[in-house]
Amino acid sequence: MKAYPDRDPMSPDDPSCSDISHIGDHSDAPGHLPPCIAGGFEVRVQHQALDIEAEVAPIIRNPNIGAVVNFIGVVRQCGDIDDVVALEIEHYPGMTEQSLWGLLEEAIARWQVDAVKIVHRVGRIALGHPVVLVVVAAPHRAAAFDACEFLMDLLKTQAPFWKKEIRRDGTCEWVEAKSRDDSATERWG
Amino acid sequence: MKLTIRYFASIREQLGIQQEIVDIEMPELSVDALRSRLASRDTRAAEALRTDRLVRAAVNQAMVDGSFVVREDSEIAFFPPVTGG
Repeated sequence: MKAYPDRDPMSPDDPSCSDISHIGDHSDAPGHLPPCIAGGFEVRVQHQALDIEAEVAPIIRNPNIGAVVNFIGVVRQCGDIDDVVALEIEHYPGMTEQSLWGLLEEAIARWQVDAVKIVHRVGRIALGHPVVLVVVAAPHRAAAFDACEFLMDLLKTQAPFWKKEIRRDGTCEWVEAKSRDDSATERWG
Repeated sequence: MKLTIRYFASIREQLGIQQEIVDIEMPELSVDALRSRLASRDTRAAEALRTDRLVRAAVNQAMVDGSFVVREDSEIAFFPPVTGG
């Protein structure tokens, strides 16, 4: 995990963090503090399945956060029409993370946000499973909604991922980029 | 000028090359000019990198347009329009 240098995850010694240790946490161990992220900026590319709840819970746990917007991109279940059983996602290691961090930094510059997390899967992903998660936490919902939408619009046209559909018979076909994705970025200037 | 060229997705599959190192002597070598040089090597390359095809490029892991001038020891990647998210 790479944390944005200026805003590290809160340490357990931080008084704000220890204040929430009794809220919604079911740990009985004395002196145990729940994992928490007060503000925090994270980008991750991974092969493992996404655990949405585990990714979002630490952000929500912070009592200062007023609005949390999540976007989850899921592999569409087209049924038997296309005979697609899974997606396979390729990426450009090194550039992928750099590209996502660049988008995150731009979101921070444009909106007042407290936490942003972008997690994108690569490799083989079955139908109905999440591909990408973008979480934005802010004091107010307008910034959270806008920043989240901005990040998804830009990710879809700039982040170096490529999807391939895998069919039941083992054949594959690359997914084509959509012009509507390019159009969606125009509103952000 | 030594350059590392990387290919991704359908372009990599069509070329049959993931990565290569090329040596090109040309002052003010733009990404477009590099692409033309690479395309001119054989019919397979000509098809994969043909000018009427949408091919994006990154230099040292940052997206650039075709007019970008590349420097010695750069890594240049060619790939189709991205489809993440």
